[in-house]
Amino acid sequence: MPKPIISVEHLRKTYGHVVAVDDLSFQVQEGEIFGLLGPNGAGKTTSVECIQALRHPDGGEVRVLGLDPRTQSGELRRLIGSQLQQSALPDRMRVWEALDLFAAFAPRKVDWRALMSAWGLDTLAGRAFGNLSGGQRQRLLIALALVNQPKVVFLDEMTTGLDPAARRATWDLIREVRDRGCTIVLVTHFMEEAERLCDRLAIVDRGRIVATDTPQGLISAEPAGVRVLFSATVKDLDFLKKVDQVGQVRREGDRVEVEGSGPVLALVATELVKHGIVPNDLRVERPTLEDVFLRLTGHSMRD
Amino acid sequence: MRQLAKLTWVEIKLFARDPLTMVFSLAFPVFVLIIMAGVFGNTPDPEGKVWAGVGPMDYLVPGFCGLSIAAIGFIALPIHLALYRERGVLRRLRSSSVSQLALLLSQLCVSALLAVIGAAAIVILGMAFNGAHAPVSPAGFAAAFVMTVVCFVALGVLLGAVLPNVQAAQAAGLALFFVSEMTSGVGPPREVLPEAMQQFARGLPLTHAAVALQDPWIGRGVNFTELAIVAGITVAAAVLAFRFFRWE
Repeated sequence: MPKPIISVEHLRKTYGHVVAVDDLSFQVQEGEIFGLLGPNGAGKTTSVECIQALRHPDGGEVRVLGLDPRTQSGELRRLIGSQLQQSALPDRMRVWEALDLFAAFAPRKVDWRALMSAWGLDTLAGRAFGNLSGGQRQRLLIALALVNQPKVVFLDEMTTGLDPAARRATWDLIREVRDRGCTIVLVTHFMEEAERLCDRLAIVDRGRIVATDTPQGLISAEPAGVRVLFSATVKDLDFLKKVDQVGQVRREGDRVEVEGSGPVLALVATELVKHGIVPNDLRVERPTLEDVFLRLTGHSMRD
Repeated sequence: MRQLAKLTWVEIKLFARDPLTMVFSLAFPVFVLIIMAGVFGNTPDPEGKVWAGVGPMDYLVPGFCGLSIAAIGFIALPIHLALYRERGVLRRLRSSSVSQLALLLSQLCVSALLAVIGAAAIVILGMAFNGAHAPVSPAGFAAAFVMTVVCFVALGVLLGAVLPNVQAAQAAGLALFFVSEMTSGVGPPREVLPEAMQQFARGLPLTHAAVALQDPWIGRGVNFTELAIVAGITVAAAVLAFRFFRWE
């Protein structure tokens, strides 16, 4: 495995008696989108703020691009990009001014105009920050995180306030940023975002990491398995129990639920058609990251 | 350097777009001077007891330059910084490797520009329309002016750093400003204040800055004692401001 671009070992941060980050360790490889997924208050934001040299950790070792955030904060901040929660611009600052200003903080000359149009901000160039909608502000703040062409960018709840279409567009743009070689650390409590966007994912709960893997890896390790659901009036469905990969078959009136694993959907569907049963509501439910989280932590993300 | 220049230029533009701050820090001293001019004119007290023996306008014009600087340092700057911190603007700037020195120097540059504009308005109003005389020692006045600007910027940054939020900055800033205006010899002349109030006013930076500004203007020469006091306040405030400055 190549040398990680970020390594965090036994990170700890407390506020008085409150332990925000207990003992957190993970590594991020160059060029990947790495996600920290967990409920609010799990310690995700505190962790990435320690990594970005915005907070002093109480313990542990952090290296980003070979730099120690505790002692090399200035150098580090020039090389990374960050979109933080609870950060804003002055109300009367215009969109183009913000990009122009933050481009001036970059170590080398950068073309902020291309970024402005990539993030759909060119029509808003002259608009004041105070007059932007929540989603427009968010887009501008993400663009500002990228304006210095960082090697690593930290995005903390980046799609907050975006509508579903803008959210998807944002995911596409972030993938493009990764494809150009930038490493992305994503903090999110949003399952779909973690599943669709992240190459690898750490599930964080109560200041600790409970699992790290690809989203697919986490989900396929879930023993709850796949559920195939459909309606059928036929009484005898025992033939399904003999199908490969099928575990249990349950029915409640016309509703049938077949529990299995792997390619169980295709196998069940084939067998149903063979028996002349062609339900028009055949669907499959796979375990989600929510199930993974529930099993690993014993409580739901929303608790 | 590039950071500082860009930041300063953007801050100037933002200030120009904010009419409320502009009115308070630049226009308010001008309005009060117009009232003072209407009430007192520029005829010296026949007994020579008040207005330091010179015409009220000659006494007030340099003092009001100080008052205008105090409005920037006591009101505009602390509120500005507290608001930036509360809103997360400072957080945003910090994470883009803006240094504390660049940020604070940009505030000094913007404040200095505002102070010059404010002083120009006061001097023009006083000399062209209300009979104030030109300064006897322009260089002495300029030196005191520069010192006063740096002093009040340091005080403003310190206030912005130690006051917890915008409301506190507003309350403390307005209180300091109006108490200074009434007792520092930039409104009612120093001589008419009761002894106790004069004693109290000696604890206010504007009292010393006002004398340092007035003396070279009205022909009493450069007041090195008062200049030294202002410089001392500046150093202390700057050290504390740098020490206690918080990004969030």
